Amino acid sequence: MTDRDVTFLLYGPGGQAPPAVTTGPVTGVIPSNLDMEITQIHRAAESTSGTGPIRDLKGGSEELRASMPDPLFGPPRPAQSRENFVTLAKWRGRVVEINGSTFRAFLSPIIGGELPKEAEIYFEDISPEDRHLVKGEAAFYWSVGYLDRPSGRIRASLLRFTRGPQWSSRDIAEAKAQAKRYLDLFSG
Amino acid sequence: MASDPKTPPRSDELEVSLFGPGYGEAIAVHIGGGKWLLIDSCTASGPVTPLHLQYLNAIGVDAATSVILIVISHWHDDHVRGIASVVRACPSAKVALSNALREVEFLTLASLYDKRPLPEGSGVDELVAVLGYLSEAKREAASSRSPMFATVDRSLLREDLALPNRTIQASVFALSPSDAATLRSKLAFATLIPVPGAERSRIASITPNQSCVAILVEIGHDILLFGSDLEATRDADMGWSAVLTSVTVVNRVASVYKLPHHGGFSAHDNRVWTSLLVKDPYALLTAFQRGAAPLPSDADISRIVGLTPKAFATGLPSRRRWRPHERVVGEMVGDATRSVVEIVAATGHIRLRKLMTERDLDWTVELFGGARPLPS
Repeated sequence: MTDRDVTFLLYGPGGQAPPAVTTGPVTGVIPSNLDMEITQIHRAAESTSGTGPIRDLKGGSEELRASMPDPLFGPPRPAQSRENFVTLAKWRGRVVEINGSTFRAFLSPIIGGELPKEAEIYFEDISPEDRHLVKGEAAFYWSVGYLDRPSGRIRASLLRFTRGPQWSSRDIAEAKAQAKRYLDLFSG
Repeated sequence: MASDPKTPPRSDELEVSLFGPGYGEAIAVHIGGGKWLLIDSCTASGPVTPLHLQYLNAIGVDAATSVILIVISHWHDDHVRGIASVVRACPSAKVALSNALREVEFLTLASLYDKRPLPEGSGVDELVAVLGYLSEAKREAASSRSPMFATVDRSLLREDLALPNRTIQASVFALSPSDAATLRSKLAFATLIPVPGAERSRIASITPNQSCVAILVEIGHDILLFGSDLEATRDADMGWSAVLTSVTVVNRVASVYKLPHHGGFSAHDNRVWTSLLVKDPYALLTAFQRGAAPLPSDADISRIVGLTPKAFATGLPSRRRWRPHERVVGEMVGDATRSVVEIVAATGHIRLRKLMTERDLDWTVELFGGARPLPS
């Protein structure tokens, strides 16, 4: 990625955020009617101002909304229904220790390029649906920046814990079979 | 005269090199005759070449032919970062793993995350890559690449080294894990295997760490003790207590000691200092900055320098108050946190060398990067 690339945060149903590294403020267009599971896709922006058209990583120049299928983006909406999230800083975090009303975590920079940090974070700043996920070794992504809405700009801090898909019976059975193959291989 | 980190050791010169970036450690040992032993692995940051491999390359050593043994002391991130690339880069080397990792419970865990890795890392990714590589090699009939599983009193290497005017024997022994520690680990791994419907998450560490591989290296008259992260316990069958009753340590005392668990008190057993080490041994450690309590603590450093005047650290990362570049970021983070500190890394390299030809010759110590004597 270059310093003109963006890490684009969308709120919508989906999985978890893969690691990504970039620098400088980044922006993206967020459909306002989708909320709360963080999905991350990577796009290269024509500029980091957040107002220009968004280019595809492979070099195409079509607008992002036009390039994405339903239902993630849906039909074009009036401009006033869109929101821009301008990311000023973003970290990948890992919980180290839980201390009553706070938890300690290590923060590795994704956007901003600063040194790793250790932070003691208040539980009250974690959304209620995420609090059960706060445990040792749990991973999260934390973005701070501006949310530009038709009604004005507000500061936004988004801290979400990753949610892994569930293990299936098949996953576990296949792993046990693989473990037996390892045993046979290394014992033979 | 300033030390040159790019000067290779002589054929008849022993070397112990310890590398630490503040999170992780890697060890390279020249056992003589151009042969090397590598223990664990770490990188300065991110997925780059491990520090000991970079070093071997810098001093003109061909790792592919010169490294004859790789020991993976345990599976924690700070000891295995980049270890899969080490195994691939050293096809002549035997690979030794903890016997606890041969248990079907660990192999099941590893296989689960092999099939479905986590974007943020599962904790066993490097071991999964090593197992996969060794499996491929085994299937391709390169049977010499079957891993060895280290347990107390197991010989991992015995090599006759042809030096100028003489032949010298080098031996490497595992001092742990004990049978009891292997069994305890098996039970702990069993509790980590998820049930159907459980959410995929990073594998929790097993503490205390009793199943890692402590190593004793004997080269001619010189004995080296590498403590991995092995912890102390009152249980006679576990940790350093079990090592002290092993056959290997009888009549063997080491002059160089890689302190276990970053010099932390949980790994301190006074009997190790009185029974397994010479008076005033060279004590080497790496720091660990990402645990609930950073290691070594000030109390740890005081204890260590009270035990030997020859204590060294690869670096002691420092913490300082975070001053964000952007006011808005500082205010938002400040609202959500009680405290934020920046961790300033201190990657360093401690190099000990001595000629094998003189029994009473002392080691020469060279410090590079952030490495320093203790107390700092």
